[in-house]
Amino acid sequence: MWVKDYMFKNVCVVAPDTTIAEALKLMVEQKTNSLIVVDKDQKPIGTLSSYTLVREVVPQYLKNDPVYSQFGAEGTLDHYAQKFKEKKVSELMHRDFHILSINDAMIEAASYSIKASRRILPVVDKNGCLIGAITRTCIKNALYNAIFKDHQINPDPCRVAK
Amino acid sequence: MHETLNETSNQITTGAITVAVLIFLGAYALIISEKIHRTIVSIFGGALMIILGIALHFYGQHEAISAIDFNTIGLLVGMMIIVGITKDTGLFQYVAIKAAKAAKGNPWKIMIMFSLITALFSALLDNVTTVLLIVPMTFVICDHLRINPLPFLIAEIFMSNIGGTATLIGDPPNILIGSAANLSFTDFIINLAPIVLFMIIILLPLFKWRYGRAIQVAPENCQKIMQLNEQEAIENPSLLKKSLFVLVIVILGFFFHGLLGIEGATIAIFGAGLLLLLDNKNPEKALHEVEWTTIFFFIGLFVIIGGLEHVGVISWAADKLIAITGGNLTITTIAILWGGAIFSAFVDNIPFVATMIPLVHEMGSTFANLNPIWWSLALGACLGGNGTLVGASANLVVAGIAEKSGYKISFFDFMKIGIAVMFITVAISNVYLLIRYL
Repeated sequence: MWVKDYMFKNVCVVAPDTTIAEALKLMVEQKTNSLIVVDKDQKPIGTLSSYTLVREVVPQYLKNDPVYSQFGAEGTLDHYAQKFKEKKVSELMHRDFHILSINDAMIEAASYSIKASRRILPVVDKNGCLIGAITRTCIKNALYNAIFKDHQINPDPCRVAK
Repeated sequence: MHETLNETSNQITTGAITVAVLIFLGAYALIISEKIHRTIVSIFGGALMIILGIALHFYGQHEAISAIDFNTIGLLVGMMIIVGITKDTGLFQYVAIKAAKAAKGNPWKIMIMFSLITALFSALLDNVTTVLLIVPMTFVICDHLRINPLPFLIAEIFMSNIGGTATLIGDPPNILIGSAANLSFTDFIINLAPIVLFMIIILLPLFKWRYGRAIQVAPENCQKIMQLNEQEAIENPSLLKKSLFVLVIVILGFFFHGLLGIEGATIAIFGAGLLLLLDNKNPEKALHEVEWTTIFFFIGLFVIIGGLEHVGVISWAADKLIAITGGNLTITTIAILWGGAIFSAFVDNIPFVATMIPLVHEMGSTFANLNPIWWSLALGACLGGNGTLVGASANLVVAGIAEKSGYKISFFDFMKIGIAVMFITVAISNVYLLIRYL
């Protein structure tokens, strides 16, 4: 099983100077939980997931122990959402991510996807430019085909996003 | 210095003294600079002291092991395990909400309640744990009241350092002093708790004067506090009962450990073992809650200071200090109080107290009763922590959470009131020491 068989090609990308509000809008419109941040040459420089946004909006005093949130005041989520909406993607994106190439095996993608709960792994060509991505859906499809050998699904494309 | 030191040991050379002092000063400088984590400095410095001690014949491996105060280590580890398990029961959140409701949502009364809770819990738990428990609840209450939480947070910082001064287990310097000077939990309660209570009574009106206007709220917001249900905080009633049972046993044990001739560490480790047994699950998680970086910091520090003691520098410094103060107990006690407070306002009070302890022991040959000095060392080191934001770990923890939650406590803004609080409390201590002991 190879990355080239399971990756999807129409990846949602954003520039690092995009605001969090715009990135979130793109996620909602494209029904995706993760974006790849690319530079001007389409080389991946970071990833951004809905988990990152949730983690950012929960204030520090609730992060250590969510038990306090049971008593949280109405409007706390709005308050902190307003505070971070104008931040730039570059401030929140994950910079430590693993890059795959089309000839990598799916076990590599699976292994790196569980490291630090990364939702998306960019796939690049020989020049380091983005050509696709592996998400958990892609890995799930590979897993399906590994188990149900008689009823294989066509994983290409796993999903189509604009 | 060389001649004086050679009197203490014929085998110790100038080179040995120089090496030991350089390791000690180097470690101290690195800890103060915060360029390298204090635990790394302490582990490496301790190991270096042993290796060079062996090479230069001033310190051995067995002596290094003897230098570690395992009573302090055991007490810290035991209490950390107990607190680590208890803090997840919801007890603290329950008490805090109950208090806010008893205050009927009135912000000034809540500030008094939270200040008292912080002081009380800091006296029984470590200060960092206490603020980690009270700070999120303060934010939640202030969110409901729609007011700035900073006045509450600053009051809680002060109260955690002051409350921690009151007991043997309240603050690491007290654990060190109690263990080294053989002072019991009851000794601390009798000698320090009354004056700590007096300081709290004096400081609360000061908070009202300083922050009264900043914490005014609309009556309908007060009502929101009354709608909170404290019962929701208790997530595990069975564990709560077990934790309370063990806490009562441990506190009773501390009250009588002097009489029973049992060390504090034995009681704390017994309590930790009992709670682990009653809970009977996941010891890994409970042990993970122990702040091993702090524990190893202590171990390394004991080894470093042990080396310094072995070359005779500590006794030389004690002689010098006595010479400066003219062998006068009053002057020595007051000098240690103020010197300790000012030093602790800027630098970690643990290495300071750990260094001062053997030095005070050395003074035993001059002064028949060292107790006034022990109390002045405890008061100065603990209360000095209020002087600046870097004076105590709890201060930095609160400032860190506040900043990441969108409320910055600036170093100088804190220092303006921190120095005043430190001055008032140390001045009260000064008068207290003079009246009661000198």
